[in-house]
Amino acid sequence: MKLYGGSYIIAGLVVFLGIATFPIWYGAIGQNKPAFQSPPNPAGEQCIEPREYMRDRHMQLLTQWRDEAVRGGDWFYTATSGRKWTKSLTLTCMECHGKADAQGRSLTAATYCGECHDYVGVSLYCWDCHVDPAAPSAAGSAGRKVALAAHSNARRPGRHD
Amino acid sequence: MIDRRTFLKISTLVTLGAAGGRELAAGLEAIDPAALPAAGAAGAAKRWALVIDVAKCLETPDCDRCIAACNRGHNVPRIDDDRHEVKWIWKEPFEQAFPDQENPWLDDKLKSAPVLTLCNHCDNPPCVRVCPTKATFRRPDGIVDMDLHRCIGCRYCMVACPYGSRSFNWMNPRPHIPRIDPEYPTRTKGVVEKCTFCVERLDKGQAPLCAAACPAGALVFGDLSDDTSEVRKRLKSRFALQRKAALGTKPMVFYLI
Repeated sequence: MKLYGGSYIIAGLVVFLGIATFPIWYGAIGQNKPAFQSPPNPAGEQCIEPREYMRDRHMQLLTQWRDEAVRGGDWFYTATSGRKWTKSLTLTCMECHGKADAQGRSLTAATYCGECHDYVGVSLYCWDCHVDPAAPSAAGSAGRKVALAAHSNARRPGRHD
Repeated sequence: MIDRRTFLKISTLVTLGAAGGRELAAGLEAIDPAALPAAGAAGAAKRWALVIDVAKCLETPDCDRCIAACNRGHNVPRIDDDRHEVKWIWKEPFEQAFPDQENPWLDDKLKSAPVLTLCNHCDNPPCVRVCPTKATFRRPDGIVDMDLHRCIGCRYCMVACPYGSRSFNWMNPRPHIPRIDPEYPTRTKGVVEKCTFCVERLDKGQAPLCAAACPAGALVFGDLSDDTSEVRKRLKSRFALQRKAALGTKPMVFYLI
C-alpha cells in the first residue's frame, strides 16, 4: 500500500509543525531578551516556605489562602516550619517584600512582583484592590513607611490608578 | 512506506493520548473544595445579628461615629454624586426605611427621623440566589459575604436586594477614599460591594466596627442562637421591627422602637 501524495502531506506537516512550535524555537534561538535578573530580596529572613517552593508555587499558595480565608473564614496558615502566619497579601507578604532591599531601594509591589511578572508577561491585577503598603498613595495617606517611600523617589514605577 | 489508514490510526491515537494525559494531569492539580476548612473556624458561631436601639440612637441624631468608623476601616469611597455613591451603613428617613409601616398618623418627627440602614444579612438572601458566579454567598454563621475576586459586576444582586444595600463601583474608588487604610483592601471599578458585618474582625473575635464605635451602646451585635446573649435579651425586652419583613427575606438586623 502507498500513502498517496505522501511527499506533499509530509512536507505540509513539517511546515505546520514549524509554525505551531514557533514560540518555542523562536524563544530558544532568538537571544532578543536579556537573562532575567531576580528581583531584589528583602535582606535577612527566609520566606514562609523554602525559596524554591515560593518561586514555583506562590500563585497556588495565594489562591489557596484566598479561598480558605474568604470563603472558609480560616485566616491562619501554618508553615512547614510550624510557624503561623495570617493569610494576607498586604499584611504578611508585603511586610517583608514591601520593605527596602539591601541597597535601600523601596520594594513596592511594582518592583518586587512586577519585575518578574513583566518579564514573563503575566499581568497582575492584585494591586487594583489590595493595598501595596510601600506604594506612594498608601504610604502617604496612611502614614506607614512614609520615610521609606520618601527616599526612593528615584525609582517609582507608575501604577495604573 | 506506511499506508494512509495506518498513518491516520497512529496520528489519532497520539492526539487522543496527548489530550487525555493533559486532562488527567489537570484533574490531579485541581483543589478539592471538600478539603477546605469549615467556615467560621475561628469564631465557631452561630447566627450573627445586629440589634439597633432606634430610640437611643435618635437621642443624638447628628452622631455618625458608626458610619465614620465603618467607612474608614473598610476604605469606603466618598462620592458625592448619588448615582455613583458607595454605601455600607447609612441613614434613611424612617418612612423610607420602613415603607410598610403605613400608619398615616405617625408622628411627623418619627417619619423623618434618620434610621441606620445596612445590609440585613438575610436568612433567605435574594442576592445570593441570583448571583451567577456565587461571588455572594451565605456563610454557615448567617453572614452574607462577598468574594470580590469572583464578582463580574453584573449587578443582579443589586436588583434582587429589596433594601438597596448594595453599591456598584462605577469608577475606580481609590481617588475618592479620603485615607486608605492599608490593612483592608479597596475595591476596583466594576464590582459590587456592601456591609460584611466585619467578617475579618469576627473571625478574630472582635466586634464589628459600627457596634464598637457607638458611644451610646445603641448598636448591639451578637449571636441569636445563644439564648443568653445580649441581642436575645434586647429582643425580649422591647418590640422590634425588621425592614420589609413581609417579603420573606428574614432580615437579621432588628430595630428596637
